[in-house]
Amino acid sequence: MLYQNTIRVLYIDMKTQKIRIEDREDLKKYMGGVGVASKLLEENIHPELPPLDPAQPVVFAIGALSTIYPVLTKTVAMFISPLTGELGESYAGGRMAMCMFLAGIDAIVIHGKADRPTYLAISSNDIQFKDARTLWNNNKDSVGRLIRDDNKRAHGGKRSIIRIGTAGENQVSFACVTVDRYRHFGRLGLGAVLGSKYLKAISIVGDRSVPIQNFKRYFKAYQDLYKKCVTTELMAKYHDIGTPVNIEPLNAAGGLPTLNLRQNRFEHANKVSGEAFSYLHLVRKVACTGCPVGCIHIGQFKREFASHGHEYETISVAYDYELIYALGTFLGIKKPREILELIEEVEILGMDAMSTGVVLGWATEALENGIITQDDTIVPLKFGSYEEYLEAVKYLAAGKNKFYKSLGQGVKYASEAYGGQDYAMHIAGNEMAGYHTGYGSLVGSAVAARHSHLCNGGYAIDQGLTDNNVDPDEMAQALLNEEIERCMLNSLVMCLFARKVYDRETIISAFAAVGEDITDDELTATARRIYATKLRVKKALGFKLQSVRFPKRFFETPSMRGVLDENMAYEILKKYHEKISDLETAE
Amino acid sequence: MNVTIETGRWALRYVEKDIVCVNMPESSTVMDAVAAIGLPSDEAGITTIGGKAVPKDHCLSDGDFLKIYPVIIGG
Repeated sequence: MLYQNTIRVLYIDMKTQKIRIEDREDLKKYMGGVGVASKLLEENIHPELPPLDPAQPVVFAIGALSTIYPVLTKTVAMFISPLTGELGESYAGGRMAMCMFLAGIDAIVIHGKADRPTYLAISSNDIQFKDARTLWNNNKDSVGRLIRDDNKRAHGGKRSIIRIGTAGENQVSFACVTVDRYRHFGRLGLGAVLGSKYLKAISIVGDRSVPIQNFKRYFKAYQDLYKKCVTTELMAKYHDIGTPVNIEPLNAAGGLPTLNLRQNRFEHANKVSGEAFSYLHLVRKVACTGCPVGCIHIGQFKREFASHGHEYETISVAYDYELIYALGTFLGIKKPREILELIEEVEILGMDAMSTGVVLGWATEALENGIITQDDTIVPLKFGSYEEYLEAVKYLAAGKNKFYKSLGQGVKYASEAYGGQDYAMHIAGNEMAGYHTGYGSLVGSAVAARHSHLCNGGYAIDQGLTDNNVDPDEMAQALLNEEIERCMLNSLVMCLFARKVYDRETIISAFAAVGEDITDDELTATARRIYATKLRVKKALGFKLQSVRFPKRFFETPSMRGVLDENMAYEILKKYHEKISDLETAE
Repeated sequence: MNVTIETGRWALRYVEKDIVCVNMPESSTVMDAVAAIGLPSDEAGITTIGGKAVPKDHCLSDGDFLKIYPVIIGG
């Protein structure tokens, strides 16, 4: 906690409805965020039990300097992923971090399963287990409204509500958790984990204040950071077109996964580009609490809601590059309006958009190839045909039949059950991100602690190469360096868009301004400590890097860096494994 | 030699027009063209001539149509 030498952890047992609070000095060496969450996960997991066993924990944590500086806006969630069966780690913005901070809670550990659907109402001096039977089967918008109605006291914008949709209730392995209106714990199935605990939602009210000490020094540090965010070019592009700007360069470079990665370019890329979305649908840009940038791009479309009478509603949807890729180019959808409608449906049902797009891409091709039939898919899935996909996502969230139940466990699981593993586009069980840029993105996702492109930014390493020749040792080292550094950055739980704002010197100054002297060496040691903790968790859960196998298609469809060589990919993997062997046993 | 350079509206923070025709000295490279229109070098991503990717040290020819894309961004 700010100005304290302890980390305050709130433990919640959903079964017994008992709570306890511990102020832990020993966790301070993990700084906060992913460091604290990793350690708490390690302490509380049961490797011998399945991911959705009631005994398994969910951990939420905020950063060491959350809320008090710009862009330190996120909360990390850690759990055992039902999708990969190993380390689950996901981040969300919105108001949650601020509300935890103002409720005086650094981390929350939840385990057990409630006897009936429940939602938690948390504030600084009160935790209530509320009956959520009337919320069950409701979508994220209804749940938010009902919880606000249930707690009419004004909170001055200092309340955050996170909730699952029907996909989480049905334990779809890539169900997400919606945070406030537009943000999500998207990847790796946190929604299914909450669903398995009968935990429909959590409302957190930040109802205390934390007086700043030595205000003059703090204010200067804050102002320096604020100016860096709003007056330099570091963040402007995230506010401007935002990440959808990636569509055109990735397409031009041949790194845009299209039609289940049959292609690396989309012939209609200009129609679904960031500029096209801006021109046709962008209505505003909003920000997470504590962020002066505003990168959340809201698109709007009109929809008829009655079969007659000309009755229309206006739908607002947040979009970014990954969503346009997964529910657009990957499925061959060429109209922004149709992509927005798919995003909206996936959100309402509470699924990770990236995994949803990738599993549907595989299903479409599997149907074409005859390894599944329309009896399985119910609708005739076809690349470019969004109406069928709109139906299919409903079947997916509901687990409509045996096929959709299987698909709801991820593309790795479904392809092992039905075939078509060569074109099931996952990496170590996690559906691919929107970058077919080279070895950095491919191997980077395999070695990444949570198999996310955000662990080590492999696509950025690919982009920085001057030619297509890769030294396996250098690539492995670059991925490892970035992975470790991001462990430190994520202990602050910053928005990673701002990683260039928060260089080492800036971080040290920010800590010093609130009375914490931390050195560059200590930051390095903390980063390594966090990464080692994650590796121990992965090892305990049985993950072996040497067992990772890439689907063949990654080596058939050219990447941004040309056709990738399978042997080279495994060589980089091997080099990486050698480099982390000492960390796997470190404390 | 004359070279037509297209960026896109994303670059209007740095350049006045998203498509311009500039007169460049012989042997100018793609990077020279980036500098000529006032675009910071680290803002220039993939570059193409006639739809084909070219490296930043590629020498331009009279009549080339150079397209400059933004860098790929994200977390």
